Amino acid sequence: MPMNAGEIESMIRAALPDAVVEIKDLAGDGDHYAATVTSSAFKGKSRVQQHQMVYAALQGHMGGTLHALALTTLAPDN
Amino acid sequence: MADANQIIDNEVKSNDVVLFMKGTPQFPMCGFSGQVVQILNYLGVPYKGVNVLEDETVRQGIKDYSNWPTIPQLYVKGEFVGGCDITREMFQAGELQQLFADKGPRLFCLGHSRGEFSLTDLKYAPGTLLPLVGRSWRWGCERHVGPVQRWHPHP
Repeated sequence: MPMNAGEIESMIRAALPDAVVEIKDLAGDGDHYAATVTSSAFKGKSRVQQHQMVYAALQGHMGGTLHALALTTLAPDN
Repeated sequence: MADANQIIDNEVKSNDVVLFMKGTPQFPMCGFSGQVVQILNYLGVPYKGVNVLEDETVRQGIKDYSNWPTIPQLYVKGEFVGGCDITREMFQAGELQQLFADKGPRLFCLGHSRGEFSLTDLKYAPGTLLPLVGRSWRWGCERHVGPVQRWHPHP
């Protein structure tokens, strides 16, 4: 069963409490999302590490129940 | 049974640029893999495509290899660069071009027959006109006056 945007956001925020999470349902089918995640936890991390942190937060759903999540990660300025 | 990790490790270490993808560079079977193929083709970088759909153990193994849950996965000089999103972001920021310039294989442009281009030439996609600096072509060579053509591995 596909995941809804609220579940995705709460899983990310559970692991990265200060994260600002914006999710778009790209196709309107509850299966193809784009997310922008901003968190101070990303500071000093490479993009690969930042994405890995989000994937870890999703606890194995990425690539499984969560079929497509285009991800952009940002560390807040200042 | 061949060890998937060994097969993957061998591909990653024996190819300068390797893309684990669904389908082939000629026929990508997934939009995300297709996007990375388009970027690599646009840059004209020679690369090897490994079709994970042909081998279930590689399809799963590559995810464990890099601790990355999705495909495609791009590797340059043995290092995991990222999936589709990161590759596209880096391309748009010019960082991917810089990465190939710094780490890419030694290449030369078919537009000239002898001199070698420096690695930074890879910043310039095929079709780019190169500016003249002083008496020589800073990003070209004296034998080739014209747009960058397709990059080829140096023999």
